[in-house]
Amino acid sequence: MTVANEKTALGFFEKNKPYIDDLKHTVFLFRKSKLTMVGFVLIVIFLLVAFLGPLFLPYDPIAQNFAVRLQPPSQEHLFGTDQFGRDIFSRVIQGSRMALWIIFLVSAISGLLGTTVGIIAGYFGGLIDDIIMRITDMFLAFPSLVLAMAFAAMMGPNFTNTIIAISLVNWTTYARLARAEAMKVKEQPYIEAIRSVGAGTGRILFLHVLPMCISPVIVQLTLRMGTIILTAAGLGFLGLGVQPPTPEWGAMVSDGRNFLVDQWWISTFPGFAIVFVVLGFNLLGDGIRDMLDPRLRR
Amino acid sequence: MDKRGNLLDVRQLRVIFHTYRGLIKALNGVDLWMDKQERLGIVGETGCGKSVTAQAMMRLIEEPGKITEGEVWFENRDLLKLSEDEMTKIRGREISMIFQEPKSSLNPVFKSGFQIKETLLNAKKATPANAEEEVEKILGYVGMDASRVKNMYPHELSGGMAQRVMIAMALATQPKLLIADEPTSALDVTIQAQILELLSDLTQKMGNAVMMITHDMGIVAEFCDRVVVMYAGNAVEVAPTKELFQNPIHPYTQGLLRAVPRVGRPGELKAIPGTVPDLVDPPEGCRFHPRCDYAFDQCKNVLPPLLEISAHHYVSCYLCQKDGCPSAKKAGEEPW
Amino acid sequence: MVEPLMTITNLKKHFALKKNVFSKNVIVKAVDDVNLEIPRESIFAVVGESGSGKTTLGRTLMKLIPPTAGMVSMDGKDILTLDKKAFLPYRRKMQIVFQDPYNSLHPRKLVKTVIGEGLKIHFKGISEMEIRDKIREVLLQVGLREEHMFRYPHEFSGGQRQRIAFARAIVLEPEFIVLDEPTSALDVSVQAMVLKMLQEARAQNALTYLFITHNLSIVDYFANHLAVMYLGRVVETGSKAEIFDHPAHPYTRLLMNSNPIPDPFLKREKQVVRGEIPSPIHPPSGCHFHPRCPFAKAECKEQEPQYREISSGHFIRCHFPV
Repeated sequence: MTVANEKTALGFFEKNKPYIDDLKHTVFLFRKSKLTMVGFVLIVIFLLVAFLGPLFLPYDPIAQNFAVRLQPPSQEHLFGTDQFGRDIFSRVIQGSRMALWIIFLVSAISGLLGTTVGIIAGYFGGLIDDIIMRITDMFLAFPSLVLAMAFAAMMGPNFTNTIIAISLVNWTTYARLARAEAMKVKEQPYIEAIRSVGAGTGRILFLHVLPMCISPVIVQLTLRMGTIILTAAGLGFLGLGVQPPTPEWGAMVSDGRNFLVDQWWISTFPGFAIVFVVLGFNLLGDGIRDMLDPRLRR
Repeated sequence: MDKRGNLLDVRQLRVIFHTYRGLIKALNGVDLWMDKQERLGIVGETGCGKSVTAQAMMRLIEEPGKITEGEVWFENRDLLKLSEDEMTKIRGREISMIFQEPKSSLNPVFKSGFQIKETLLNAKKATPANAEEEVEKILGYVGMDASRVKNMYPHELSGGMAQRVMIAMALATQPKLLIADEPTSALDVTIQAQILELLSDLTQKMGNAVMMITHDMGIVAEFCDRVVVMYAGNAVEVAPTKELFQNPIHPYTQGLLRAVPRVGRPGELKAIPGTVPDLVDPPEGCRFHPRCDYAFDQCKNVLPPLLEISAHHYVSCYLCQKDGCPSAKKAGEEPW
Repeated sequence: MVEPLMTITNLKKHFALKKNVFSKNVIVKAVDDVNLEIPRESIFAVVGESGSGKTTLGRTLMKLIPPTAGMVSMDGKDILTLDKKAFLPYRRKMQIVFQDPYNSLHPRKLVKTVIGEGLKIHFKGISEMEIRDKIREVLLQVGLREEHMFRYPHEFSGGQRQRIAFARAIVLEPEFIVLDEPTSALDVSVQAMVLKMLQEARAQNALTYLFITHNLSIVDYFANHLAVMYLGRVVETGSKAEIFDHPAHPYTRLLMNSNPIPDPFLKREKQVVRGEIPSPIHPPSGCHFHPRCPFAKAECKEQEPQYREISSGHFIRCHFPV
């Protein structure tokens, strides 16, 4: 080729034009929705607290100090202290890191598992599909908290098992979503086109079908992050989650049960933390869903 | 006011659409007019505004679209100034429409006979007592087995049958004007021929004027008395059909005619270079000038007015004022 | 006569339709006993209305859907019986361009990925530089520019997308391309450009096209051989000149007659075919066309007409050719 030397006179902007346009459009849609912005801000605060908060704790969140047990909120103890004299503010902050870990690990495990299983079922159809779908039906037949409780109780309550239990409850949602998308996508002409070029099944499935199934799964993941926190808190509340003295919001709410009338702050502040994060994820998830909706895009 | 057509006179119609990319100037001052019982063809390519023109006339432009300017004189009323109630009385009674996708224009949950009956009762063209009878009569007119078809749901009809039902509904109210928006583009050629024949016969018999919106020069040649050629939101040439085919003046019309493949006339197809402009940022002046071989300075500044250059032949092009019209024949070529 | 590139013998593709669990399977004969010879470096048009099986024929030839019976030989080899591995070289030699320009390119892939993917599959060990060079070459050949390879499909117009789809096909240096209504979604002025580009590319790369369409005027302009299909069967085939001068099957004649001609001065007795296109699920007995045929006799209803040669290379399936 003689032109080989004259090529690549394309600037950075020209090369990345599609990405830049895409980004601009996303920002445009994002800024139009106030609630999404609120959700976004809540989650940013949550992430900042989870990452940086534990570095600046006023008290050790685990250290017990019976001299100051059951103190109401004050200058020294912003959120008061619990029955062991631990600073609730420090514990809520430390708990955010736990919450983040749970969200991250559960989303990663269940998202990956669900999507893979789902696109396989959707793309191949037939017997494989039937078997996989009946399995998901079995999972969906139980209320998710009950199922998570059963798993956690069976495997023994600790951090790892909490993650596994919640993931096992969650993956079916993503599997069904990915399956529905894969069934739609496999009928598209561009998949037939890539078959006609000679691509094998694996290539089609992971390079062509998968990218098209990811965005609904991501939306669902964001929407479900709130639910994951709730399930984790539920398990913690029932004593089947992360074990004390590690600060975990659900368990903290549970700790305050006996003092609810006189020492309201013990349950309330971790409760607020849960509300804060769940609300943030729900608003953000709704917003992302609208943004990725192809009817709103172009 | 001086009217150019005794049925319809559309003047300087402008429509815009708000999108995130900016304002789409979909119609840029469209002029067209029709006489009673006339068959007017509106041709143009995707995005030229031919369907938007019809929707704007019927005031069916919805958010984010808006009619910003213009007059639509239908007989002695400006449709753009009527109240919504008065407009409702015009739609479907004095002006009816049929569309490209007949099946999605019918309500899927009602039988076709019921839908025709409703139309008749609404327009007071039948009484509850004789409605059934009228429905059968109308279905007979459009060439269908009335007793069978009136009990069928839209999904049981083929595309051609559904379009016949649509025509039956549209003509049942004896409108003065029928707007047919690409009525046969979704149909097979043999069925298309049937539908065109049916439309032709019925409207001739009943005396309706027809506005045929199409991209197919063949349909124009076979069906229409007069043609409006649209490009990027403007009517660029208006002429009686034979005149237009014999003596196309606007460079776009010439290009369009040369691009159409024809049986029995193989040989070079000539394409129009360039692409249809983006209507968010259309070219200044004549919107065709970037693709036009003849363009000169004036074309780039001000939109040329639609002027009558010979009897009933209107062109929006500066060449006709400068050094004579760009006759295709002059260049030693056949017009198509 | 030149050795044909592809010979299709008794090709059948039947679909089993199941209405519900309790009903019996209904067989739809989408392609029924098709015999064709496609000459090397020709443009072979397949014309038909909806339900004629023209698209299914194209897909079956491409082995995108498995055939029910029959043989398709290319270079003297029956490609339908080859297993996946043995077929791979033929996969490269045969390509397809689809009708719908808006959905036949992956929406999340850059143009260079769309075009380059086939190269990675068929030319193992090809370098990124070589891929770039080839993509640039085909982009220029289909009338696009180099920088277009860094864009997404949605940034292109319909005509440009069809060019990209065609570039994806020719980058593999095929011999045979199925063009499945490549211009039916495009405007006429764009169509003219795309057809012209297709013709030039054919001459330049010694390609053979199977051109599927419903538009006879394009066939006259574009093709040199032609087969007319009706409800899964080929009813007439031959060279374009022969069929346009002497259409022998009533359906071919009526199809030509139904096509609106852009000439307001032409006076012709327009004959409109009566009736609807029957459902391919329950095709009429005998000759499928008899209920709509103006010349039908009792025999047409009872007996299936044989596929026979009426003059050299001109085959027809009709009892009473016109």
